[in-house]
Amino acid sequence: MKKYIIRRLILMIPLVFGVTTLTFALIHLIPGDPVELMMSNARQLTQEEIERIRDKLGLNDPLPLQYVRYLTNLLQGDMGISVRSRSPVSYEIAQRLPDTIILAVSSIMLALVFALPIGILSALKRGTWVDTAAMTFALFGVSIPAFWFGIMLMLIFGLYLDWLPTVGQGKTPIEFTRSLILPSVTLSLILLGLVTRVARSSMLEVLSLDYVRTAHAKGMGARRVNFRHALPNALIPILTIVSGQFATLLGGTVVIEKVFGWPGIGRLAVDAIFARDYLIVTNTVLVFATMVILVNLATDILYTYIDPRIRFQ
Amino acid sequence: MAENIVGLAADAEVVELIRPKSFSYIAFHQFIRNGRSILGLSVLLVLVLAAVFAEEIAPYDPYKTNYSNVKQPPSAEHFIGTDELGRDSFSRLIYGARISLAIGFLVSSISTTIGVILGAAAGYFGGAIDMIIMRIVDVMMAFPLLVLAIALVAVFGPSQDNMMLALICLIWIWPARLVRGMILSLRETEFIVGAKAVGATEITIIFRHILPNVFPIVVVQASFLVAEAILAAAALSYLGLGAQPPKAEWGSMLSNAKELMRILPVMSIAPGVAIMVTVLANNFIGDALRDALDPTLRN
Repeated sequence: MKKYIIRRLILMIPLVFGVTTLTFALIHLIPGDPVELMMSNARQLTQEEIERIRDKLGLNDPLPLQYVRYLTNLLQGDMGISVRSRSPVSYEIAQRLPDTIILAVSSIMLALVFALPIGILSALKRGTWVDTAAMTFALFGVSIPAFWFGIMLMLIFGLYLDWLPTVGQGKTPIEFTRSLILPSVTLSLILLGLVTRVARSSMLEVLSLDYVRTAHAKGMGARRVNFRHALPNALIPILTIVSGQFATLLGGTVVIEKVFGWPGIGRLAVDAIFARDYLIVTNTVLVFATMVILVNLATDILYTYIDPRIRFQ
Repeated sequence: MAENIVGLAADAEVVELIRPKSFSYIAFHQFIRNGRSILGLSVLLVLVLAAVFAEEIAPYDPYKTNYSNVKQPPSAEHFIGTDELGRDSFSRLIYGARISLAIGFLVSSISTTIGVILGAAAGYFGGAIDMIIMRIVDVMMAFPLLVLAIALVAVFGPSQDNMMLALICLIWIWPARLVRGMILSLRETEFIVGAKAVGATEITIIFRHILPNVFPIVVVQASFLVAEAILAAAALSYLGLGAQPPKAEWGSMLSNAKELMRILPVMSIAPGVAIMVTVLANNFIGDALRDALDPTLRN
């Protein structure tokens, strides 16, 4: 098992290299001279002064050298300075990252709490109206634009019923939880339909296996067969899907945070585009990719603990 | 009367019955029998007609402002009211179908074409080509689609065309992965090995044996990618990174409606329903196509 984890870590090296290369490329592809952007508020600089700053910042060095410096700076947590706020980009991101993680984790929880029982029930009641209703629910889940679903929740629970706050983030723990409800329900929609479908198909597959039939044949109660024998095995593919869709979910935070004015890094990135604060944009992109890679790695390692078939390979 | 090989007389009807049905014949009939596909196709047809004949159907010019008639609630003249500039929301909704469908079909077909070519090259030639293409795909998979899309829009500049370009740059990896995987597994199957053994040329194998097996699955995926592209484009336009105002695009109409949510909720509801109906129709068709075209699902 140790060997598996080590091999998995080694496989990550080219990936991390590729991801940082892509963000480095984005920094250089985004139009606009970084010095001019940085000095846009200051007085007009002469050509000589601009050249001197470029030299000082190392912008005149060959690209490979700049890339190495970019990586060393990253490793030291230095992502540059935000043009808009004049504070370090790493500080801006670190301040908002927890809010995005809270939002993402709570919507994964919500999606599982709703989708798992529906999907499993639909597999157990295959071919009945329950199954049809569950699959229709799943189809709507993948077809509704999540941000519009958020607007509708806002309209119903915020404006008409006035139960929950529609924008911003509460300060006290109770207010915070209340303001988290609508964004996380909205974001959970991204996973809801898919997890329902996968839960159903994975449960159906396990139910058709020999060991389940044997359990039935030897007279074991249906509930025990379904929930103690079949369910744990059916959960494994669901873990794969949730981890595989983690990237999509994070992509959703970009829009959902904007809809609800949730102060996470998704909204930070979108606002930064309009402020031409490009170091914030590229570094947020990098942080998103890092989260995806870490979650996929954690899932792979988790497998070795929960699925003995992988452990003994 | 026709003589068959056993020498027995059989009428045309019996010959017709015992003749094995072709793949496309079965697929077509399965597709037509599926109630959802008919529903999806009908809805899509209505949407396409609305998009093509927008000028004739829309009761008003979607870009004509009328300051004496702003923020009107739904009425007989304006089915879903007017916006803050007095433009008829229903007419804007109809023109929006044109934009969303164009984005969906263009993005899906172009990225599928690119993905199929690159995926096929990777799967068929292997070696360095495969290495390079698949490393790029792996790296791109680590980024959330919408996140990389906003970064690319920052590179290209926010506009509808640039948003489509960004989506194409990102979506091709899905068909590429699919096609590469299929070709790798097909190359190992007995019938390809058999074809090689009897001396079939590379060209014959690619066009006669591999492509016909890959094509249906690619079509199914492309139909889902239409839905995917429409959803992503609406989200990006909502953020102001896609179609720009005053363009009558559903996502940007939703972002415009936010200010008027309290007094004119219909402006926030209608464009979203339009997106949902379009995406549902596409997913219906995609599901039905998958049931009809994927032989591994056929019993």
